[in-house]
Amino acid sequence: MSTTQAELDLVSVAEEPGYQRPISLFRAVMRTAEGRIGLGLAVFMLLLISVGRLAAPFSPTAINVGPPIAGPSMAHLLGTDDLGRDVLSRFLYGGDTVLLVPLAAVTLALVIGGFLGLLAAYRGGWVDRLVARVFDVFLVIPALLLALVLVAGLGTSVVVIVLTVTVVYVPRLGRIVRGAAGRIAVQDFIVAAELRGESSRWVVVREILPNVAGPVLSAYALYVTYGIIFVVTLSYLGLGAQPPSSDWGLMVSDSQAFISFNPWATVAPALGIAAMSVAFTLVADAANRQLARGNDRVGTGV
Amino acid sequence: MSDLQAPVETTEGGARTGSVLGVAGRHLVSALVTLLVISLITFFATSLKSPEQLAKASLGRYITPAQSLAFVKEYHLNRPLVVRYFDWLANFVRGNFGTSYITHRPVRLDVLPRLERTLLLTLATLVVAVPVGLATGVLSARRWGTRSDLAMNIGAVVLSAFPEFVIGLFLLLVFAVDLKLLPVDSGQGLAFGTLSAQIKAYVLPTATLVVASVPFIMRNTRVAVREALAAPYTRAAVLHGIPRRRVVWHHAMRNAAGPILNAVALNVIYLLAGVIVVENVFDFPGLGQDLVASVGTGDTITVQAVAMLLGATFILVSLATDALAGALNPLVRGSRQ
Repeated sequence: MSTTQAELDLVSVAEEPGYQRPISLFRAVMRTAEGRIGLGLAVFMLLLISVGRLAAPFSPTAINVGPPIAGPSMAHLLGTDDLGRDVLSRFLYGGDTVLLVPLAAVTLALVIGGFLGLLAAYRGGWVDRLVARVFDVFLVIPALLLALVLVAGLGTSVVVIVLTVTVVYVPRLGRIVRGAAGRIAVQDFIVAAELRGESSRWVVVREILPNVAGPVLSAYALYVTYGIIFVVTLSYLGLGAQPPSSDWGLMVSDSQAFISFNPWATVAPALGIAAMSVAFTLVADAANRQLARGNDRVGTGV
Repeated sequence: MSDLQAPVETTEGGARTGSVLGVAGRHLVSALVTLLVISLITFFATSLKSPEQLAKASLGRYITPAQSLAFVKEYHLNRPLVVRYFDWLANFVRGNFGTSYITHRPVRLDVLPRLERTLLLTLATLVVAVPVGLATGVLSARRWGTRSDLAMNIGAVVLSAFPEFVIGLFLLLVFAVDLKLLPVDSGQGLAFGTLSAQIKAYVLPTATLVVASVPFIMRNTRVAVREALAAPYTRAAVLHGIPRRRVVWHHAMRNAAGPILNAVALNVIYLLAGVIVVENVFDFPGLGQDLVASVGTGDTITVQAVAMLLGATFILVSLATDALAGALNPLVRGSRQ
């Protein structure tokens, strides 16, 4: 490479082929109506699951606070369940695990998968081939099947669920990081940094990481929404949250038997799950769409 | 750029048959490797429980050490894990799925009728979801960028954000609880019902899986058809005066078939997981319900058999779609024109 550092500084990196201009994710999301609605709903749901419990009239696990399986009344706005517990109170307490467990798992998956992806993309050669191969093998195994088999062997607890979901998402996020970093790792400014004598860690952290942050973060947002659906589904199947937790997924499955008598006990948590998942999906979709559009502008036009 | 390559490559014609076989061979090898990995994970993950735990799950909590020892001996649990793995795998391949520790029945008897029902459910879903997904996707692609396209797209995004069991419960609430048109649970109808009751048992599970599948097929069709419609050969066809409908369904669709088929294949793979959830919503006696129930009761042998059967089905489907994609894709098959 004959380019000097000074020349490199002059070249606008935005004109490099395949390079994506960093764009504030928040602004990208706010640019579309879809994103604004999603963000508004997400903020509302966050408030509901964090401080909503302050408005709960009863303890979420107190039994026989009312007659069992009763419809809505003034004392119990959403009625009661089969153990005479107040559905509204359970609903207000049960949303936090729906978000926190997948958030923890997907974040852990991003850290591990991101490390492997960066390692593969930057080192190249056999390391890259090995990591890609392992990712491929795990990618084709159906996620729910993998999770069920792991829970069958390990039993269920929050730790097991977090680790299971992490195992499921490491190759998925790792592949995205590897792809994004692979496009950056071959750029001239990386070679320039290496020729300057920067350490590998410096190159990865200061040169590659900032350049992959946009697409990786929007992929992360998307996978958090997948994670929400995944974990709440495990809870619904009775393999995630355990009684007497009022996790929305568990609440739905607990109340399904008496759905004809007090449908609110099922509908309230189901709506909560839907609202949470839709909110995050709209935000993630808006971010990804904006990024894709930016990509189109830089890439080859039709 | 890929638009330009497509017509050029097709003129090479039948000379590519060798590579088609090569591709098929590679697919077959990777399918076998995947199945092997599934078997490894299934066996070793489910073997994390100690023989004593298994004995307790089978015989009850308060067994004597002697009973536990006899159990271990009966099921040969004292041999090394690796030996047990190969033994189990060899038996599975020969169709011997073992005897359940819990029900003490051969797993094969319980599992095969369930496999049949699960496959039928998956097939019924595909028969409805694929045409609907294709039609809405093509519609959306032809109206690319318009308000109706945007509305359909956002609708698909919102729908895809719903977990299957939430979709299923809302359908159940409307059609089974409110309107009383369909049964609340599928199990009874399938076990004891008349033919019409048996058919009804399939309706809600199928409908749920269709609602969950259509957005994915639609969005992929939309993008693939749009790309084909924007390609120079499509414009050339339009300029030749070929009717619009024929251009869309004959010229564009043929070139969009590869990515769409890929999406359908991914959807089938998704369905094999989706059935696990939906079967549990409607108490549908298929493999998925058995799998979840067995995980709950600690019925290791059944978990292993069902996981392998689902895994094998899913590998077969992937292979079949790859073969079909090869047959349809002009790049691989060579042009017929």
